[in-house]
Amino acid sequence: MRRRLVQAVSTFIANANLPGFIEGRLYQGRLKSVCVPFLNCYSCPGALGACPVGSFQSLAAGFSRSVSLYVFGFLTAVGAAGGRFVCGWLCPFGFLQELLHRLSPRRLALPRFLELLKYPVLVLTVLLPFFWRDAVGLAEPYYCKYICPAGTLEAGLPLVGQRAELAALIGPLFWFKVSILAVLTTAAVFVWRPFCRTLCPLGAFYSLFNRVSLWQLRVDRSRCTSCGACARRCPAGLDPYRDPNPAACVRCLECTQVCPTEALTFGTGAKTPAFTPFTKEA
Amino acid sequence: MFQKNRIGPALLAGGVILALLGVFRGEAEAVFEKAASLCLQCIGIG
Repeated sequence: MRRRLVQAVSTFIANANLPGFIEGRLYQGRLKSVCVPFLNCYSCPGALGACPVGSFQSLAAGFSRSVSLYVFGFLTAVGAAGGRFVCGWLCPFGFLQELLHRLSPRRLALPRFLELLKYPVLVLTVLLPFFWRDAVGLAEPYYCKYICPAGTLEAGLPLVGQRAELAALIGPLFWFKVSILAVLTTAAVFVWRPFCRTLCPLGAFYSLFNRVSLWQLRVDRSRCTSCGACARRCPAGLDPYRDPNPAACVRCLECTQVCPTEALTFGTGAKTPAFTPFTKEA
Repeated sequence: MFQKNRIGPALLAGGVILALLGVFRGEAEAVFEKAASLCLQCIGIG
């Protein structure tokens, strides 16, 4: 319940320019120079900050092919602090998918190999703007253009719905992106956070830090009774008591809530758990 | 079973330094210029 509240507050703060939704206009104040740590389209009428994926790609796509130290350093710092904690607690699109998942009692597991898709997506998101250029020498934010369902939901639909001059420009690309959004939101009803687990480049980037981040999930082996309650509760189908910090964990920390002996904790300190599989002592 | 985590703090410090370097290079202004303008690609009509 506390996490839901944090997710709702984060979603609201990131998109608190409410007049923008009414007028169909973007916020253009100085806060737009500040990156948010999650996927939140800066062309959303409500957005107060900048999407790091869009910012990185847009700067890379220019003539100067800039690698943005600002965006890369910011994301590295956030990932090094908590790994995918941002995914589990702050991301508005992750929040939406979780709300959709509550609609159906029927829950389906996601095949593990699909979770690897997000890594080539990350590589292409980073590299394509540098190398896929037109005759003039310019590139585009390809991930935003061809895939990002958050942009379609937060910016595309509201703006096209309100501004006739934009609605007049709708073509096959728009409907392609709407189809991606429709597939992912429908899938989210049955599968827990399908977009985050398969296509999100930011989730892929943060997942690289899960094993080394400052804040870690810890298992106190002296308290763990190997009851399996954490694994049964994990919405991603992981086994926290065997491996508490895998790349697939979005750190929703629900496992820590159900542990009857409080053997699972999330925190920082001088020491973090070694990554050896749990073995029950005789 | 425990090992000292030196990588996380080092990456955190490195990330903060890189981000500050980027700000001093004027990248926050460049991000502002992109983020304050309508991105046609983002909404699917560019």
